[in-house]
Amino acid sequence: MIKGMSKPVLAWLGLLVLLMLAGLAMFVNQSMNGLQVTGMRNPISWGLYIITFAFLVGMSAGGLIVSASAYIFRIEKLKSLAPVGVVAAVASVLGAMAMIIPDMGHPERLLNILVGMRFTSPILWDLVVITVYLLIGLFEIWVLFFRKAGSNQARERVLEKAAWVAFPVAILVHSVTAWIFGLQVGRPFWNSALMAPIFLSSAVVSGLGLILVIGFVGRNKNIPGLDAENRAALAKMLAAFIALDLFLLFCDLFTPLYAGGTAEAASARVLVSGALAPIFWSEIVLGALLPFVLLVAPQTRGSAGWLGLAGLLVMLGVFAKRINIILPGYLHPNVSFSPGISTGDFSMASNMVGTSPFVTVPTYAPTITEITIVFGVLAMVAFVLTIGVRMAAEHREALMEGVRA
Amino acid sequence: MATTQKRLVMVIDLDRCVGCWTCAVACKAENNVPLGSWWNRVLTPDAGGPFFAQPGKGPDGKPTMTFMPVACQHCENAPCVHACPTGATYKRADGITGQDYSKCVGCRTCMSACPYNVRVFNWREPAKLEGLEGDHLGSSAVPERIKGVVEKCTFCQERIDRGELPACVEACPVQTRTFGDINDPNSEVSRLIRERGGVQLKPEFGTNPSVYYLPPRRKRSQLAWDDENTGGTV
Repeated sequence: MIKGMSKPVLAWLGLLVLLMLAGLAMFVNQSMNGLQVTGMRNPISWGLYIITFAFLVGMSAGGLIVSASAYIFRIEKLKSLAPVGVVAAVASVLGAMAMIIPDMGHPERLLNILVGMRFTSPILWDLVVITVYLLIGLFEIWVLFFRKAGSNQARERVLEKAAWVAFPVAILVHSVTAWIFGLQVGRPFWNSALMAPIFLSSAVVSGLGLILVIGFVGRNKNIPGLDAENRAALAKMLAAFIALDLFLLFCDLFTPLYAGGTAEAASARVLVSGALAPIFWSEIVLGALLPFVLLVAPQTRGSAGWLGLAGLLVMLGVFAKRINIILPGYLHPNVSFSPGISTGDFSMASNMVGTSPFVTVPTYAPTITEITIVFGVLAMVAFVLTIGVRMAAEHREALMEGVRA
Repeated sequence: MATTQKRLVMVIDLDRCVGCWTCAVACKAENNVPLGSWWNRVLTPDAGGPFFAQPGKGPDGKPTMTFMPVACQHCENAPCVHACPTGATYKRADGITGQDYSKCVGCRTCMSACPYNVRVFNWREPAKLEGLEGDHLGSSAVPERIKGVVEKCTFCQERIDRGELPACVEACPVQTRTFGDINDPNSEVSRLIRERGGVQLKPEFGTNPSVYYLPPRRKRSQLAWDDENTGGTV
């Protein structure tokens, strides 16, 4: 396989391996020293790891939901997207699963979740449904790339059946991930019925963004399902989902802001005009409005390059959105009287003036450890994507025959 | 016919609390709580500043200060228990929200679920003061914890199982805290809640906490107590 690779591709894969190793090294260090090496503390107990986890779960949506709906609704042309869609889904889900490990205080006890089986816990639901999702993805990859026996027609029939399972499971994956936050009555900003719909729409946005980026990077590689016609169809779909996503976000923020005075309103104001405003407005303008224009304007919508840029922007926009959903949930503690929440930090210095193990206003900034580990996981996703998409390009002839048949 | 199940509650009289933090320190000692972590804090609802040193002003313009100890509320409808994937956090028959540290995977979902921010995570190997590093302070019945697990007030479940009172109840120098069975109408806690109008913290979350606060009578007119602090069910 390495033989067929050009030098730039090998250099790219080499870079990804280095990033993965750096992340691994930081993870080993974190395992030895505990999560004190992160920027998380008791007042803000989930940070970049969970933000990235939610992002990667979402990113798995695009290709799989589109290719599965192509089979379910019999949109013949888009069926050809299945190989890239499934590869993108599997790569993202693997990344999401990997992202959970460094967030846990005791990853080696992971199976306690299956032993404990607390059926009310959205974490348990997520573990089950993400595992099923990954297995479906791996099964489809096997069918597409490795299954020797059977005709192309037989393969298409199997894929159609798989789509009927994959489609509802994909919807469920995003809903359950949203419910980890949305079902928490103790975090008024998260506790919104719109959380699952928003996660679903953002998931499709970031997932389609990824497909368009792949379409641009591999524009000369004959990647199955990513010709100009399909790219245009995906661009239209993405524009529609950006609009839906913006509408849902508006509803979710407008409702508390209109009433004002509640904890939800205080958190929403942090986004609109408070500490997170720069990230929030970048998300809206650069991560949604600008790519929307690029996707619909006649001057740009026909170009793989502009569409790729739009795809990259919406991915960054959805990442910002994950930040803007998760952090505000912590910023206004329900019981915030002085001296505040026990942080978990302490000072052994004899002069204690200016240091307190409590805070009333929670703060969070990711550390180098967190950033390196996140980049390591993203590099793993990119590595699997690169290999998988190349595999799809190599199988192009066989795959396209099936679709035509 | 069925005998009523015991439900243990704690009543905290805000008229009595002087904000000395003895309960918080007794809790740390009894439960061997690591440096930097507090299961039990004494909040100052009407004061400000990083060391809660600036008193608030009453309606008459004079400085005023009220103290309000906050630890795990042992909610009957506990969000943390619903959220925990492993059963490390669980409800006991007597109403205590217990912790089983050996089951905890450190996912911290319970911390996000808790409306009261009373849960603390061991971000590092539990640290002790110099000279006490190897020591297990307090009760030997309290399990040792390691890094990467979530801890919180357990109403001193080990002491209760021995028939004793929680450490904070015993340590309080001014008898702010009363502990007992709310399902027994003749118990001291039932009487206090009834006669003094005990309120729960943030009842709007529907958690039905097992900690009741007796609002301060002296400062009742000025304190944000009635609405802001308790959610308006005085």
